[in-house]
Amino acid sequence: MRCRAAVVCLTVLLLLVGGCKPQPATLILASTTSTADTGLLDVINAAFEEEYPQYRVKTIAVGTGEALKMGERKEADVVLVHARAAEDVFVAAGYGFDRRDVMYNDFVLVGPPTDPAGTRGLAPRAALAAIAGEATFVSRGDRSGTHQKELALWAEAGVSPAGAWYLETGQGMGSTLLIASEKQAYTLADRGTFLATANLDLVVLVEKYAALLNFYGVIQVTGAADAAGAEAYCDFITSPQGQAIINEFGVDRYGQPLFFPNAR
Amino acid sequence: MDLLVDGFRQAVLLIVTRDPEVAGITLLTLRVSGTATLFALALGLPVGLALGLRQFPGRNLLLGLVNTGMGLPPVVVGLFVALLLWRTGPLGSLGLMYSPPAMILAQFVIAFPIIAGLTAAAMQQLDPRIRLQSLALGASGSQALWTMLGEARLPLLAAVMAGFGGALSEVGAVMIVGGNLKGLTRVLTTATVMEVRMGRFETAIALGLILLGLSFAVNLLLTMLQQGGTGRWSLRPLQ
Amino acid sequence: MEPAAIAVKDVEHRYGAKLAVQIPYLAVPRGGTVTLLGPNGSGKSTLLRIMALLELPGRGQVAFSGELPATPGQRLAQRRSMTMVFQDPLLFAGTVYRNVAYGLRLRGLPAAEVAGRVERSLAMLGIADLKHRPATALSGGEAQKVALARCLAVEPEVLFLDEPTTHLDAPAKQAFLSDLGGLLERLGLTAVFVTHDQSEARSLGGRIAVLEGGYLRQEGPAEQVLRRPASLSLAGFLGAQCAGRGRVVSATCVAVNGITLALEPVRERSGLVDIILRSEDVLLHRGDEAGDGMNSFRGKVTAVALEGQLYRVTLAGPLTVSAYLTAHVVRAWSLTVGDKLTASFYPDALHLLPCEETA
Repeated sequence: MRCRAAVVCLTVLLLLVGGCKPQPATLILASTTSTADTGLLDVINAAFEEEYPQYRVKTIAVGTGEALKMGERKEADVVLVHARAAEDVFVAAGYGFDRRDVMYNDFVLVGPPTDPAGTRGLAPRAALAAIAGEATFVSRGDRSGTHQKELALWAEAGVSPAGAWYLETGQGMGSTLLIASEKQAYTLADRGTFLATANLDLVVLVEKYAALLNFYGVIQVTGAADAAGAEAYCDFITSPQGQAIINEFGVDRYGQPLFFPNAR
Repeated sequence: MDLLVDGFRQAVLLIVTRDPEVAGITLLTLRVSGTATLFALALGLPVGLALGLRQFPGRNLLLGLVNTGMGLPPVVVGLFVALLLWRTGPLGSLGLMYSPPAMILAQFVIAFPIIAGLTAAAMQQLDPRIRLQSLALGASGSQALWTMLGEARLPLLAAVMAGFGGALSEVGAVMIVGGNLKGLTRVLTTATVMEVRMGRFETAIALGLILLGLSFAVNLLLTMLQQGGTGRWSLRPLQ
Repeated sequence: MEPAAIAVKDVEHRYGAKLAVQIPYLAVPRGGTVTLLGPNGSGKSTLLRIMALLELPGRGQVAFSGELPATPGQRLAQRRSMTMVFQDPLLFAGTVYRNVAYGLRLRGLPAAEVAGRVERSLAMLGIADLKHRPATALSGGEAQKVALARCLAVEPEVLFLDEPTTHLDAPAKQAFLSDLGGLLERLGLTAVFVTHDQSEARSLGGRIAVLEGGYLRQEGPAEQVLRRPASLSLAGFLGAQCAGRGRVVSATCVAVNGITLALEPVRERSGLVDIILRSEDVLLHRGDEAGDGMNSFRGKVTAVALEGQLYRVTLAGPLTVSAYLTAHVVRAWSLTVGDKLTASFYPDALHLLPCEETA
C-alpha cells in the first residue's frame, strides 16, 4: 500500500518536472548589490531575455566576495563583480574563465553638507586622513567590493580604521547611505547607488580621481550548469547592444549615466 | 553537509572560546530583548488585566487593536519607529536612531500587544468566581488580583514567553532602527542575516545556534516557573 | 434587644434594567441560620453577595450588628468576619494545605498559627489526611469539604453558603449537609444558606426566606414556612400539595366532599378554602381506625412511584393526598394501584388558603 503511494507520488513528481521542460532555462547571475540596487541589471536582463527567449536570468545580489564564492560552488553560471584582484585569483584557480571588461563606475566620498572634516576638494587619501578620528565614517563592513575599495583607500592613506568614529553596518550600500545620512557621517559609495537612494542628506565631497574608479568584469563559471547560456549572456552584455544599454541607463532619471561601458 | 558540520564546529568554538565579539552581540541581544520585554510586561500586564477583567467604553475596539497588534509585521514596526526617530521625525531631536534604545522601543512595540493580548485572554479564561471566592475569604482588592494572577500564572508566563520570543526572534525592526552597527547595535538576528549575506554560513549557523540556545534557556527557566509543582524538573510545589 | 447579625434594609439591585432583587427588610439573627429558598433567577445569590459585601446594592443598606460599614477599611474588616462557600469548590492551584491556609495568610497571621488553624480546621471535617494532596486530585465531595474547611479556618462570625451541594451526588450531599449542620451548632455560627431545593431547606433549621422574581414572598421559622405557605403557587414550590377545596364551617372544622376535618382551633377563616397538606405529615395505614385526635379518610391508591429511597403513594378520596412509604411496607402490603388505604393526619398539619368564590 505504502509502496503504491510512493510510486504514485514519484509519477506525479516526474510529470511535474517533465512539464517544466518547455519553459526557459534559468540562468543564475551572481552579482553585487551595487549593480542590482540601481536597477541596471533589470534592464539588461530584460533585453537579453528578449534576444534569447530560451533563457530566464535570475540575479542573486550579494557582495563581490560572496558572488565569487557562489561561482566556486557552481551555484551561479555567470558572475558580474568589481574587484579585479579577486577576479584574477578566481580565474587563475580555474573556477572561471574568459573574464571580460564590461563597464566601470566611480566611487564618491559623500558626507554631510556641512563637511565638518573639511574634505571638500581634497584628494581621496588626504580626505580620509582628515576624517579619521575627527568625524564619523560609516563603512559597509560587509567585505563587498565597495568595502574592499574603501579598505584599500584607508591603507593608502596610512590609517587603520577603528574606533568610535568608525561604524560598520554589515549592510548594503543603500542602508549604509541612510545610516550615514542619519548620523551626518561620511561614507564611500558608488555613484550609482548614491544617486539612486532617495531622502539622503549627503553631498558628494570627493570625486573623479583615478583611485575612485571601479571596473566591472563578467566571468563565466567553469562547469556551469548551462555553459551555452553563460556564454550567450557574456557575449550580450559586452556586445554593442548591451554596451549601449549601459551607456544610456540612468540618464533619464539622474541626468548622467551611472555606469560607463568599456568592453573591447 | 560539510557546511552544517563546520557550522556546528564553529558554533562550539565561538562559544567555548568566548569570542569577545560574539559575546558582546549575545549580551546586547539579551539586554535589548530583555529590556523591551520588561517594559512590554510593565505596560502590557495592566492593559491586559483591564481588557480581560473590566468592561469600559471602547474596550472592544482596544481589544481588537491589541489582537491585531499581536501579528504586527516587525518590518512595519521598524519603519514606523524609524519615521518617529528619524532626524527629521517628531522625536528626531532625541538622537535615538541607530541606538539600542531605538531597538528596545521597536521590540517593545512588537512585544507589548502580544503580552497585553495574551494576558487579556488568560484573564477572560479565568472563572470570574475565583475573584469572588478570594474576596469572600477576606482578600483586599489587590490581594484578590494577586490571587487571580497566581491562578492564571500558566497562561501569563506563556504570554511573557511569547512576548520575549517575538522580541528576540525579530530581525526586520532592529535592522531598520538599529542599523546592525558593529559593536553598537548588532544583535544575533541582524548579525546572522549579515553573515548569510556575506556567505559566511559557518558563523551564521553559529550565531543561529546561540540565538536558539538563548531562547531555549530563557523559556526553560520560565517553563520551570510556570509548571511549578507539576513536574520532576520543577521548582518547589506551592505550599 | 440585641441587633441582628445582618439586617438588609430597603435593598434594591438591578442588572441593567432587570430587577435582580428587592428586599424591604430581612434580618439574620446572631447565631441563627437563614435559608434563602427560591427557584433559579429569584435573586437569592445576588442577595447573598450583597449581604456578604461582595456586591454593592444599587440602593439600600446592609447593617452588621447595627453598624453600617462606611469606609473601604471598615468594609474590608467586616468582610473579613464573614466568608462564603460557593456551588463549586473553587479551590486555588496548589495543595489542600495552601488552600486552607489562604485566608489566614491574607490576614498576615504568623506561620505557626496558620499551621495550627489549618490542622484544626481539617480535623473538624475529618479530612486531615488530605493535607498534602494537590487540590486537583480530590473527589467532588472532598473538594467541597476542603472549601468548607478553608472557610472555617478563618474563624468567621458569619458563614454564607451559595448552593454548596449542587454538584455533589446524593450521599455526598447528605453527608455534607449533616456535617455542616453539626458544625454550625457546635461553633455557634451565624449562617445564610442559599438553595433552590425545598427538601434541603429544612436541613439546617432556623428560618426560611422564600424569594421569587427578586421579591421576598415569605419569611419565618422553617417549619412554619414549609407547612403554612402564603399562597398556592408558593405551596407548590415548597413541596406542599393542595389536597382539595373545602368550606370552613366553624372555627374548628372544615367540610370537604362530604367529610368534616378538625382544625387547629386558633384558626379563624370562613368561606371557600384550598386545603394545603405536606406529604411528610400524612400517615397511611390499611385499617380504617384513625389515631387519637387525627383526621382520616379512606381512599383508593392512584399512583405508587419510587422517589429517592421512598415510595410516594398517592391516594384519592374526599381529598387527594400523597405520603411516603418505605419499600419494606410497600412489599409487605403488596401495594398496587386500586388498593384501598386510610390516610390520617393531625389537625395542625392542615393549612387553609382562602380562595375566590366561583360559580
